[in-house]
Amino acid sequence: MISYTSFAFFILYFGITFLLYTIAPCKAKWCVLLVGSYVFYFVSSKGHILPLIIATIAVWAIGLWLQRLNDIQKVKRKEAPKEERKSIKALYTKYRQWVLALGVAITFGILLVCKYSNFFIDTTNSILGLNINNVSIIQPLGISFYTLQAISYLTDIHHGKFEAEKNPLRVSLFLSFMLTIVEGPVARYDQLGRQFKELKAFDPQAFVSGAIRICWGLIKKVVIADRTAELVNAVFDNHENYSGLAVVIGILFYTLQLYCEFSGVMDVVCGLGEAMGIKMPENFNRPFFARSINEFWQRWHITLGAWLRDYIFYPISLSKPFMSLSKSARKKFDAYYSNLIPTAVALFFVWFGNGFWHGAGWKYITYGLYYYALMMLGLFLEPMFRRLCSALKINRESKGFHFFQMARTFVIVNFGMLIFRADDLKTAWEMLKSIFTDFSFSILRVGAKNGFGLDVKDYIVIVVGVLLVLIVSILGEKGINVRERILALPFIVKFILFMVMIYSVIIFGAYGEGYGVVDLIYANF
Amino acid sequence: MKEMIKGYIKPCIKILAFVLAFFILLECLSVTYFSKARASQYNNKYSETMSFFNEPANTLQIVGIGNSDLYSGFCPPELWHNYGYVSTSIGSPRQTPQQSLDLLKEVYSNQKPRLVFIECDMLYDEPPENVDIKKDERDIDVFFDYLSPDSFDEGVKNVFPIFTFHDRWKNKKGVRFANKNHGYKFSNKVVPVKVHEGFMNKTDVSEKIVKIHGKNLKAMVNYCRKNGSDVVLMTLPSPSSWSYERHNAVVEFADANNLDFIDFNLMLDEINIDFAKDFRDKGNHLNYYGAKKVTEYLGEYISKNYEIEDMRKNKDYAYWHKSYRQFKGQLV
Amino acid sequence: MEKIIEIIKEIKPAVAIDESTKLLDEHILDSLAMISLIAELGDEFDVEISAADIIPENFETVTAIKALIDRLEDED
Repeated sequence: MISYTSFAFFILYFGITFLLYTIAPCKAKWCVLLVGSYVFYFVSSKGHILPLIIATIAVWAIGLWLQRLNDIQKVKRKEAPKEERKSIKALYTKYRQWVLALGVAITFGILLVCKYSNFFIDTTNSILGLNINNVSIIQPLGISFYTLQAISYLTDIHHGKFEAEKNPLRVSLFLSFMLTIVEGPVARYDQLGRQFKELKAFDPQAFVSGAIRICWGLIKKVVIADRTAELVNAVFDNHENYSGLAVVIGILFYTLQLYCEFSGVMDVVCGLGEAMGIKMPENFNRPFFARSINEFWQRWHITLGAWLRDYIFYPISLSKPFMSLSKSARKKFDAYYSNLIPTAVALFFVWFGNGFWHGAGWKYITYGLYYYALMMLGLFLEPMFRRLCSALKINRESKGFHFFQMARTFVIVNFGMLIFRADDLKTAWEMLKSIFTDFSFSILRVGAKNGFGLDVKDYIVIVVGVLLVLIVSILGEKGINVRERILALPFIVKFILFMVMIYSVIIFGAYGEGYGVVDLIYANF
Repeated sequence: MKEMIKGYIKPCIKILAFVLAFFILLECLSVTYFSKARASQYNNKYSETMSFFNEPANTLQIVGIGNSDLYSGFCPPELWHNYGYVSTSIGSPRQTPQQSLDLLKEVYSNQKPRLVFIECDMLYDEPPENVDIKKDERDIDVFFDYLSPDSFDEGVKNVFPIFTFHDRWKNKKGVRFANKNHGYKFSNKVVPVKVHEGFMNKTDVSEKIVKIHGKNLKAMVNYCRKNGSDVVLMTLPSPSSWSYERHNAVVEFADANNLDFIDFNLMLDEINIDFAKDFRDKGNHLNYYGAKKVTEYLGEYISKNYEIEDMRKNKDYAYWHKSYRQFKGQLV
Repeated sequence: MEKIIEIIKEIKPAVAIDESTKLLDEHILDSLAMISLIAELGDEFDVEISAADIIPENFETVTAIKALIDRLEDED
């Protein structure tokens, strides 16, 4: 796999593509992107491109089929007398649903086989006591991401959001785009695909703005996240040797690592896109200011949450059977709890899907259902909680209460991270227990250096980095866009500031000898 | 129109000016504070690997090059003490043949070694049990290796050493490095080793060396020979990362290139390797006691096969006696 | 129009709304509130709002919601 933060990517794959992209005429720029993306994918996955090509062809063909049915339906309804229109609509909707189901089955099927085969085999083995051998299938690069994009593309055509793309190469670019395929964001066709049709000439302002963003992302990923990896790996890979406060520190640092890495890479990817005049969807919005789990997942991995909302939550909760179920419930019971029924079922699939998407294992499913349980608990208790607060005269809109909510969310998220990062559920439980049974501050005395593999200077860098991120985030939350402010500064100031930023990454980056290779965490999903 | 171009060209020129300034600064830093020579002088994790920079010009007679197996098992101070040979070990953890080639080229800029030992553990990236020997390397795999970040990034780091030595700021300030180990990593830790069944069982099968490593190995051999050195291949004792299949592949290469090959894994009894006492980890790296045995054998081998001068009585090399005393100080 | 505002107020009592309040931008309608809203709207105006209709343009403001309902009522 070719990491986004390697020289090879910046200079060879992106660099050459960008140069050719800049000099190509506007109408041909998308072709440069397509070729560049496929070369990158081919080398990154060592020639393993067949699953992507099969999925692309299937998606393109089914998209056109759905479009054709849409068109026929329109024509027939226009020609028909008024009484028949409803039945024609129903009939063709049924056809289209079957075609869509076929498309989803193919793309999702490829994903299931490539990624989840061994999970199914192992689960079957343990339930039925068999001993079927595991298969060795290489998981294609980016399959978790392009499958979601494919399903969204087909579903949107089915709903008539836009017309199917006739050119298979454009569909291909949408699914294989170099900047989205490794770690997302999960893009929508009407947002990204349309931009590929309107690519603009080189814009120096956009280039500089993008460059600053790339640099910021590199600081988060290479300076902060990769540095904390040492500590996190020490605690989680040798968990028998750590307990109490050490485990807590390990979890907190993992949350820091995951946030800085994932949002840092997203900054790099969005910055690269911006340099090319392409607006990529955002995946992070200062998640630790969230005051509830619901809000957290609207600020963390935003495109995944949006995908689950639009393609699982709404279709299930607004489906006819559920709507009529809650309608009849509302006649007898409280409106709030009646509406909770379709919500509860739909949310189950959302969270199961979230967990399962992250990995082929019970640990990940538990991760998703952990959030489901907490969310349902919260929704269920909400009316009582509201009454309690007004009885106790607690102001839920006060700054103090907001802070309490943020802290509560932070704690919940960190327990989730424990489940996510631990080797398996059993280990997570052991580690959790050890926090309470073995609580001691001795780890601080023993010396973080021996216990965690980092030295004082490393910790200083981490602290400075975290403060920087915190300041920028707080400013952002107050509506101050730091990047815009920087762009408005005089040239000399920008010049020096940017040079300092780049050299911070080069000099303080945690790469090279003695740091270990830190693979992109999300690229394995 | 003129304004539009001005609004476009002026920013572009500014961007290019920045890029230029960036590269100039990169090069300046790479040849001063972050250079390879500086890395050898200050106490950081590279000072041992780069210690050859500190050897006075044209003094080295013997150079060992390889990965961590080499710097754990080949001990220049002992070679000096018992035979008077002036040598150095140039190795870093997981050093690749490509990195070794780059380092060798640095050596020859001010040294003329008579003999170069190339440690062959670096020809294989994974331990034997992780590799499927029967799978042939596809031509396209070679292509992928060249275009992978490992190769490409190495090249960039070689051109701009700042990327390799960027964390110099972490070192203890101003502690000038005393070159007492000459590249050897001292360790008197003892970890008993349990050798797995079938280690070095004779077989006809050969585990092919991947093309990119083979190519770089050949380049190293040619480079050394072109500069007047003899080359000997060797593999130090390493039960966890060697096998008879790998031995066969190196023998093939050695025969094809007219090289001697000393495989210590087949001479364990001859040099009295004791698995209970001679390793510092679970069978990958020798400790000082094991290194002494290997170095003793090498000293004998060199004195029998090569005309290399014993420098112990030579006044110009008196500083080696001092550095040996400093080296011995570690043993207490 | 007033009916729609009334329904939204029942779901989110703490917020003041008029026809042009940005319901989505100001995070008044999140996905959970949306379900309750659509259920109630479906009851009140006897229309079927499906997942396909949940696009920002249809729920930006109360005016937009009214337009959506009018359209669905016309479509038999």
